[in-house]
Amino acid sequence: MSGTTREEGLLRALGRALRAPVPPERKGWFAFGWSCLALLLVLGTTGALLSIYYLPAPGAASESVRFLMREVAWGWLVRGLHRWGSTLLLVFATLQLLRVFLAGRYRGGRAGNWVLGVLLLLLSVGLAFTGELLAWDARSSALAAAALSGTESIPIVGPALAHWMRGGAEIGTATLARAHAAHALILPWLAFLLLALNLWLLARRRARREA
Amino acid sequence: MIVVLARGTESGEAEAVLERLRADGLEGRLVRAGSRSLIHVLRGPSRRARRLSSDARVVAIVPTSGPRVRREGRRFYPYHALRMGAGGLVLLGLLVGLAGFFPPLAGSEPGALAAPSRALWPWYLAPLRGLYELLPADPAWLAPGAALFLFGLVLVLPVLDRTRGQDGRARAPVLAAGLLLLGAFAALGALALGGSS
Repeated sequence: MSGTTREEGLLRALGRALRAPVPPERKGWFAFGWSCLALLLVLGTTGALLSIYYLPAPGAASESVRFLMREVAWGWLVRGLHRWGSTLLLVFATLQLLRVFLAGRYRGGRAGNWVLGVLLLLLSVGLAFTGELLAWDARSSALAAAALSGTESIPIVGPALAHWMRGGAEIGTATLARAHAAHALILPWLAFLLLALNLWLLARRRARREA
Repeated sequence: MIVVLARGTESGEAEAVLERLRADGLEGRLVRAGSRSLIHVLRGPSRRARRLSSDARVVAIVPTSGPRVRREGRRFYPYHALRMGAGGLVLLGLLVGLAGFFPPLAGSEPGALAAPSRALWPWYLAPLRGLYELLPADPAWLAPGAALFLFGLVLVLPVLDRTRGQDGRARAPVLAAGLLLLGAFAALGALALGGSS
């Protein structure tokens, strides 16, 4: 297929998707599902802006956050949008799952979407929690200590998992580096993959129904 | 949308109206209904068809919203796309308002590790914290095991719920169990947050 033909094909497919009627029972998706997508966009954008000023080192992390809040123009707003965005994402993702549960839309071939939705909510909790640690002030380092102590109590895998998360015997540079890697790279990519898989499952289901 | 032509409109004139629609980027088909000719607009920006209202050959323009639209739903563009855009703007406004009126703290000085207290736990981990407080510390696996069990229960819900259709009576036990679980989560959260104040 030549480039031009492929482009025409893509445009035609996009046009078809835009013109396609949305079944009335799926209107509810636009309330919470769309809000979650929009919030993920806000979080991705503000997260990228915050990463310009953030320094992931125990001595410099809290200083860089204070610098961002007090010295950088609109820095307080970007951080505020990021923080409240993550809070609202947890609220909307929970409401979306609750809506799916009450409507029974996890049955009839939709089990994959339900599992992915629950995992996405769990990832959102992970993202919010690792984000709390990044300020690395007295509160976040105490929170890291408490979370690691809780992780250690998990039988069999707990101690090894806590040791890996801590990055050694003591909480320090490695712990913050792991929290930063999880928050800025690993968990967002995982969330992106799960989201893409979720949307693909929805599109495949719709295509099968229309066929 | 249906464009209704005047009685006695010749087929050549009807074709001319159809051609005018095509020139405006609309696709339609000619339908004969007794002595009357109709044009069913199939594709294209239907608002442009309203330009025909000044045409002497056109008697009426009938929107096709109704039972079919209610059954099949409205098109994504422009109806839902506009709603989504408006919803996105409202959401952004809400976020800016929250960020402006309740800005995050600038962060305290890094210092010695503070003793972990219940107050430091974020709200979304409150149910988990409540579970840890409610269950005895010994054996150590009890609380994390219970948390994993509850999470697994939510995850495998489609396997556990074998009901079909929207029959409320058949789904009642599942709904009751789900709402009970949700209530338990809320109570555990309240327990953790109440204890920290």
